[in-house]
Amino acid sequence: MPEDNIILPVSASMSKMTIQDSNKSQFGYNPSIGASSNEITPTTSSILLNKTVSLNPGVSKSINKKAFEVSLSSLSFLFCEIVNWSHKKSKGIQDLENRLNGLGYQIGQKFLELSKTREGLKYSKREIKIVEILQFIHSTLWKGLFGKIANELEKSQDVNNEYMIIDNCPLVSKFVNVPKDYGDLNCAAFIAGIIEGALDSAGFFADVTAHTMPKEGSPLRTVFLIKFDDSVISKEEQTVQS
Amino acid sequence: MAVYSLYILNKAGGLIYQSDNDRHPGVNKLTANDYLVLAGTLHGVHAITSRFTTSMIHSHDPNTTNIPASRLSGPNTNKSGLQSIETDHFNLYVFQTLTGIKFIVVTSPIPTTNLGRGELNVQLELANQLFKDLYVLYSDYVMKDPFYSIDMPIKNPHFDSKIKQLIN
Amino acid sequence: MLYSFYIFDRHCNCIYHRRFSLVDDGATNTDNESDVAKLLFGVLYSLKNISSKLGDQSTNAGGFNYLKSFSTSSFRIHFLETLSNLKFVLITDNLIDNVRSVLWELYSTYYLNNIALNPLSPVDFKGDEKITNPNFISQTDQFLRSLPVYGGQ
Repeated sequence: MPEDNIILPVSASMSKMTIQDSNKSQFGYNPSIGASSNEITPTTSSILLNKTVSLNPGVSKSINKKAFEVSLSSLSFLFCEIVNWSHKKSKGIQDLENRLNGLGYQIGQKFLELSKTREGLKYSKREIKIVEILQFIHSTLWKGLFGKIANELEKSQDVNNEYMIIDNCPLVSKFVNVPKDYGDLNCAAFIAGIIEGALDSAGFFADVTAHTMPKEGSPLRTVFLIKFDDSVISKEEQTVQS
Repeated sequence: MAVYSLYILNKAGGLIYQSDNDRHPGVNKLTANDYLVLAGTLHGVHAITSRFTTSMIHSHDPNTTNIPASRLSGPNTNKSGLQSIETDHFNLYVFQTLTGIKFIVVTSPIPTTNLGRGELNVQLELANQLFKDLYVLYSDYVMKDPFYSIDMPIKNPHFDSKIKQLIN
Repeated sequence: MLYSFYIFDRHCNCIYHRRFSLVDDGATNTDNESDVAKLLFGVLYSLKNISSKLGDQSTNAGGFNYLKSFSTSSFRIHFLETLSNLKFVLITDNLIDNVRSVLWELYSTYYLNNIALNPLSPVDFKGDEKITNPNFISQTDQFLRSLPVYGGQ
């Protein structure tokens, strides 16, 4: 965009402001006063503190609030750009999946914390068994992220340390169409990253990958293959024995 | 109203999507090149007809000299160009979005016996309803696909299956 | 409502144009050479090509596929082409579906009797020759004005 095309905010109401006008919350920038209106004084700092930090002991209400709704369109467009951005920077299909996985990983770490807090301190406990943490991810974590629980949770019959969480239509890849020459790329690698992040920060070290396994009626069905680290398996065996 | 074919044109008049319903008589199968020519011609005709509007209407009834502004649209709206074509074997409807994308459907014609009773406008309403649904599918399954680049041909099996569901 | 009446010959010339305008002064052939007439001919020509190319013309589908009309949001253009490639065009508002019989009447009664059967009329309208036959003009005017499509419906 050329420099002379800078978009300015609509300032019809601003220009009408006078020095007497002040924000409803008694805080904020007043263009008619200038920089001094934004100064931190004892009054404004208390307002500022009250707005962001809850003074009540215990858990702040804003964290507990669950029923936030986000438009699927804006989420899809945002994810669209995330994929594009990662795609531009990546060297190949595998690299793109790794990047998406990496972005999800940080969300997983943080969201585990948040959803545990939301459970409430009284009921919350630390999962120490593989099945328990997987069930937690399959239901509670999934519901917090996508508003529904995942469709299936399975243990691999052949390999001891492999588990599968299956979603028939992952929310982020609902509108994604992978071109043929991209091989078996699955953009749900982002969700795989979330699972991996949550598992890792809960102490269950694992590799999570996303694979497309279409089924009649659900072409986007995705299997999240969870491969636990050997240390996790041996720890599990010890717990069972004791 | 049976839908024979659907075409989507980008803003330069290039054919970026085509879906044909083979079970219907009435329309020929053309070569790929002919479809491109067809798309280009319709694009051109649409542009020309949108220039016609004001110069063509000269009302002779003094009571209706002022045609309501809503019926005469400016060049930047999607309402001024070619809207429908009626022939013996098929009807064709055009819908242009604000971004210049054109949706074109070819449908079954209206039996001649029914003509003359506002049937054309009834079918136009049906076609407009169909265009709305198509536009929704386009914005969902094409625009939200991170691997789609704008104005390029649409090769998307999800979109295909949704379109097939809608027009069959 | 009826807006205009055009006849094009097989050399792409507009040989007759009658505008039914607010001040109905009976003027004919006022803008035969205008851009609108030329563009109109081009559009009709393109659309005729499309309908004959895209339409299935095998005998079991009903033979040749004729272009009947096309519309924009504010008017509808009705079209009839004769075997000698004369094109009869009526421009009406959007509410009128079918004026095929009117176009046929204009051709079979008024054009044939006054122009084709008239020994003094040229077979081909060369250069900037137009239809100026007063009988044709007054009779078609009278005919079109008597139609229900002329005013409202």
